[in-house]
Amino acid sequence: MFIRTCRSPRLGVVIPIFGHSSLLIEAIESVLTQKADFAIRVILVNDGCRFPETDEVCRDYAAAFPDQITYLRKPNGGLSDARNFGIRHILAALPSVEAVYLLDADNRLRRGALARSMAELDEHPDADWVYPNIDMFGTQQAWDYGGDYSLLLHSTMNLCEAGSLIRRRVFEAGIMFDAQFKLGWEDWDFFLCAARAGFRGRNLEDFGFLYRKRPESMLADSARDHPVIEAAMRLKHKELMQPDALMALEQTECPRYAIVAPDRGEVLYTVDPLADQVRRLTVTEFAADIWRSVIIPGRYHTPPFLVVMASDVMDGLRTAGVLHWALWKIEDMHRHAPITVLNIGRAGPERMGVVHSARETNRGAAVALSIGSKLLKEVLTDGSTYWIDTLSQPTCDPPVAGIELKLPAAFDASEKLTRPTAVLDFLSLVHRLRASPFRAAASDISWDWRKPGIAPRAATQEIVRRSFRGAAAFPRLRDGDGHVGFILPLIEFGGVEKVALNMARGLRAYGWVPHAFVLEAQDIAVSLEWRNTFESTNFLAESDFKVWGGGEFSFFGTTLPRSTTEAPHGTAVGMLHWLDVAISFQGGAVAGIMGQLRRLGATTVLSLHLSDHSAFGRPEGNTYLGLAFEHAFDIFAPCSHKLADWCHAMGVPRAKIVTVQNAPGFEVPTEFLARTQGARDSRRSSDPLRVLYLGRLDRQKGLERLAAVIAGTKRTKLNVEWRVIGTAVVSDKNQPLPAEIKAILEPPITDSDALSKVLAWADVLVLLSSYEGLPLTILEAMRAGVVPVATDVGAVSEVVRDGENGVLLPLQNAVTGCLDAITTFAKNRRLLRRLSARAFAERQGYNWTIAIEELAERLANKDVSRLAERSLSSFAATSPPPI
Amino acid sequence: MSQPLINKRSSPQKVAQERDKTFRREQSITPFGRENSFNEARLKAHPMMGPFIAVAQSDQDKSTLGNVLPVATLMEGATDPHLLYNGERLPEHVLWTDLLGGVAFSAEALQSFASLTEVCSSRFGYDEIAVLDLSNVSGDNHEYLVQSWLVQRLLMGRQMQARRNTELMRGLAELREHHEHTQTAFSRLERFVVETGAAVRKPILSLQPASDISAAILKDGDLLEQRLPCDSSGLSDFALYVQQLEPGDGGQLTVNLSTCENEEIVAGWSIASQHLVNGWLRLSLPASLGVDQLTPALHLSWEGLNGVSIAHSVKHPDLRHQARRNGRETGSVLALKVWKYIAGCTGPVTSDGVLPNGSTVTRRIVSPEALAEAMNLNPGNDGFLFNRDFRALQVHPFRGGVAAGLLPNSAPKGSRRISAKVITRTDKAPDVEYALALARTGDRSTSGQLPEFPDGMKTDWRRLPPLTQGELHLFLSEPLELPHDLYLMTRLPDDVPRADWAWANFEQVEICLA
Repeated sequence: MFIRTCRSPRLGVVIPIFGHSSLLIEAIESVLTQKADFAIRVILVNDGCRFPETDEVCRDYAAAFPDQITYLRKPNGGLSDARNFGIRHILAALPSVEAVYLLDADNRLRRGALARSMAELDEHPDADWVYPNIDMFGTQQAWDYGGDYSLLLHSTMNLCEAGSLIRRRVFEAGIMFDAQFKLGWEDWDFFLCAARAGFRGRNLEDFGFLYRKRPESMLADSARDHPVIEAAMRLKHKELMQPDALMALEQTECPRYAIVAPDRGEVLYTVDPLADQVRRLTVTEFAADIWRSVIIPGRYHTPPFLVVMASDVMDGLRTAGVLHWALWKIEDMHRHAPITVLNIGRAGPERMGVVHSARETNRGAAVALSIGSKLLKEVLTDGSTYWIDTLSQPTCDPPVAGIELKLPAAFDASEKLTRPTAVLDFLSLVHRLRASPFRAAASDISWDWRKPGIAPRAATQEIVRRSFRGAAAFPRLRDGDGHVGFILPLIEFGGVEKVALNMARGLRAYGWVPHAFVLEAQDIAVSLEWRNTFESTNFLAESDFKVWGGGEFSFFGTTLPRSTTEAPHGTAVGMLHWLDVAISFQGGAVAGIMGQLRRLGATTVLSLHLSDHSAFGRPEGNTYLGLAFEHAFDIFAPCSHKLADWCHAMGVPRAKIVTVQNAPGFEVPTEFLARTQGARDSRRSSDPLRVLYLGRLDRQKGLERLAAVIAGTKRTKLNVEWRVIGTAVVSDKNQPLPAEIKAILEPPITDSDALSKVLAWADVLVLLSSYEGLPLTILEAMRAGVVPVATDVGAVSEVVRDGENGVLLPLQNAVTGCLDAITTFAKNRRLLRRLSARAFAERQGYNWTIAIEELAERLANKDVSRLAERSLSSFAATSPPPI
Repeated sequence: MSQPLINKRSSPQKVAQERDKTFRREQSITPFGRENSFNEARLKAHPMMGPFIAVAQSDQDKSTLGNVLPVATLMEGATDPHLLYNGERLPEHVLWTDLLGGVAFSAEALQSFASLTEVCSSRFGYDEIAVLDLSNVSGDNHEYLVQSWLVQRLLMGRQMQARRNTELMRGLAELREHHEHTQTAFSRLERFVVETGAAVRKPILSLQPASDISAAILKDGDLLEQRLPCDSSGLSDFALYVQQLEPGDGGQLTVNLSTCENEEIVAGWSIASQHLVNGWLRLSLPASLGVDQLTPALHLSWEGLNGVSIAHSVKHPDLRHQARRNGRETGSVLALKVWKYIAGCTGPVTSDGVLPNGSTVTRRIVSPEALAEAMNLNPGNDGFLFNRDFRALQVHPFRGGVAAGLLPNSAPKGSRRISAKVITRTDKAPDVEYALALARTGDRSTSGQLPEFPDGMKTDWRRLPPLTQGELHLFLSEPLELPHDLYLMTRLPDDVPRADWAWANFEQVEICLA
């Protein structure tokens, strides 16, 4: 049936014309000869074409076919403007038109194209536009843009040709062509706008669209102007191009991992294994999927990584808080080899670690194996399995990289991680997939004669990776919670880690979900308390990333670490990109990527504790590095008011500074404190004065001074009982422990009950450090009623007032002063009780909930788009933490 | 125009009615294939469609132009001047499609048209509104001047149209000349290709029947569809594999070849069951499909009491490529062979090719593939091979016997003449003798012996010296009533003692049908 002449057209065709005065005839004729059982109206839009012939042709056709053709004129405004002009005319004058087809003046349609595309819209009410494959004439080529529509893919390439049939409702929603796009790809922009507004396209394979391909065409120009246009696109569609938006699309449209759980016989398609929209397939369904993508690569997507991992293993990794990290790391390790494996090992008590190897692996014991889909497809179509089967042998042909995760010895989920059969499970799967009847179709036949137009479908993981210079993106999707990353160079029992732990607990009480990120160390301490506080623990494990050292430039005398500028930032940003808040705790070079995280929408925080001292005593370190990268941090969070003042004095805007004054590092029941303080008060004057040193043993802590004081009290035979508890964090072979300390040294205590008992035992705490921040030990001691005798360094004086609640010693006279104080307390227990009572009274009630209150408020209220997406109520303080 | 449009005594409505009558007499066939008058359509499209003139609002009372042509009123306004007709606002595009011009009876009206032009220029890029200035002319001459001006305008339009028409006619003439040259050159090229033996339909795809996948069974009224995994450009032949033909009272297999993008049936074949045999069924087009790349698809149907089984080849995970039986995917692709030839060209049809309904081709060739699969009737003779470079069957004769190859069923029903080119391609070869023969398929010997050829079914032996090409022709007194086997034979003449280098080439085997 030929098109009917009718005054109620169902479809409008807009033909913008500029310069194609002669070729235009082919375009018009191709519409007039359409076979359709509905009326079609052609809108010719003369976009101020300088050729009189354009006007003549348009007039002639409009005069000859007044019932089918409307001729409009306008001053030249470009292709987009001309299309909009025609579309607006249809919206205003042709209420019966349900859909608009955009035909450029030099292109053509086959006879049934409009009827077929209209039928496709009728058949799929959820489709908002139907886009064609592109059959080119002139320079003959044919491109297939088929397969499911994907906004993820659309964000990276122009896959919807303007010659599409678009529903009226798209335009009525205000989606029009951007007249500013005059260099080309205005259709890409248009359809992206439509997609972002919730509209969706659908490919029609045999559409019948004919694109005139000439060496010099607008598209060729746009290829030349690619960087400019792409920059404009990225700017205009910034929200869509953000990693979290792309990953959300990746999850629903092109999942990154096919996680094969051999124990359940199922395959999970996902990016984030804990997300809601995980798709579950049987192995048979997966086989069909993978063969489809082998046979018709441009049309069908399969996840770019196949991960073999038993469900128990996945569950165990989830319990250990390392599931996402494990997936990310084995994906990241594909930089070194096309096959990667994960092994689980045992660390010491309350220890955790990671060992990675680009070559040698213990494949036989692997609990997970990952293979890139490209290699997998080669394996499946290979003539024999000999090559891949060697994976099961002691030496194998395929290159394999591996990573071993060492979990705490007493880890409660460790029994789940004892299925070391990933390699065998994988080989079994390979043989099963190869036995598929579809394998016969994967010969040299090109089943589709059009070339695959959507090449990125075969490597969809690369789309989000562009934000990270090609590095893997941590597979964690937004889940509505606020996630805070605590970024540390190492995790031991130092004060900074204690602050991080307590700040994490505090923020958790305000609704945030804390995660730990270790930049440099590959063996860390993870107490039960730490594991219970942090949702996950993650290692960067990137040997090229050094927290300190190697830099050429300095800032205020602090050498900028080389990794602030030259390190593989992509890997680090790829690991941290998904965070809502990133807090650097002595993170050194991580300052160099904070700006990137900030641009991705994270709130960046620098937690400051103290300035380090150079060998000659000059202050340097993270404080100065923070100043160097001040622009990259939203918030400076010093641990004391003194440090806050210093930051301000050094140029940090006051509004950026939120003091998080340290609080005791562990919880103690109030009754216990009251009881032990009562017991302390009841001690007799004749009892020995109990003096305690508690903490790390390194030079900073003034160990020589401590040794001298111990020796002095012994020399004068004071009625004093000493306890020294701690261990060296930083080994210093040139500075062995003084004999006086070594003689009475007790092993370190991390358990809060034991700490409470030690503090309950003590009368006096001695801390004669060369420099400090605001030591937690002093705060914990004072809360327990122990009188601090400390050097006046750092922010110690912020809580210790000499003669009121403790003794504050000038550094130069610390030994003598400390001896005098101990002597005085040994003899004058009344004075000791008075200071103890004051310290006890002052430090009750101050805890981390109070300490971080302002920070929590700032984080919740910060006007950052990512935070704004969440309900503010989820960030409001819940019940105070039980500290 | 058969009747004047301008009538002094007519009102605009009467003019329209007269015009309507005129148009009705001018019924014609439109480009849309049905009787219609586009002028009628113009009238229906808008009451104001067709030429009209405009006067300014301020001049309305001076207007006597309604007797000449429909007159619209230019409503003045700084930002939105527009035209009114019968109280209805006219769409803007009539300004450049139907407005012949404006007539100004006053300076004020002139200014109004100037404003209109200015607005049109800025909004539509259109600044060609012609205005007849009658501001300084007495009223008595107005109608005369307007008519003269209109005639002049229309003449100008006709002149422009004539120029354009002649340009187009010149373009057509040039195209025709080019077309002639192209056609002539192409026909010579075709002849050259045929003469040099390069006119061969090339196999591009072979999906062999699978033994482990059940065939698609077509019963009466069933429809089986299969998309071909190639484009249509140059498509010349395809073959299906008939796996099992159920015995019975007959039936008919219908095969249609279509192209998806334009939904056109390209060719159709109807094959009666008695002409079907188990094995490959090759369906040939006399001319290969054109250069336009489309997606070809097959539509098979069966009519008859019993059925036919069409073999599958491989299972395919993509629904688009699976055969569809009565609209449901079978999970597999049909066993297929596809050949291509120079796009849009008539190439020699092979002897086993079934032509579409209504097509006849009297000249057939034995395909190179058939030559390549010729049966060696002398199992002890290793000198029997197919040379791909020359697309020739090479048979080495030996002393004391006839070396022969057999081409099963190569002479189809209706064959009237068989010919082949023969040659030995080295000067070291001795003289060699060649012959062709036909025999019924039923006479085929299982022991490799030559059958007794009936009279008139064998050529004489032809002796040729080395490097000399000769042609063998077997003329049949009556067209064959059944397909026959073709025998290609060679031997050494009695006076030639040694067979060294005596490779006899059989090539370009042709069959002419009655």
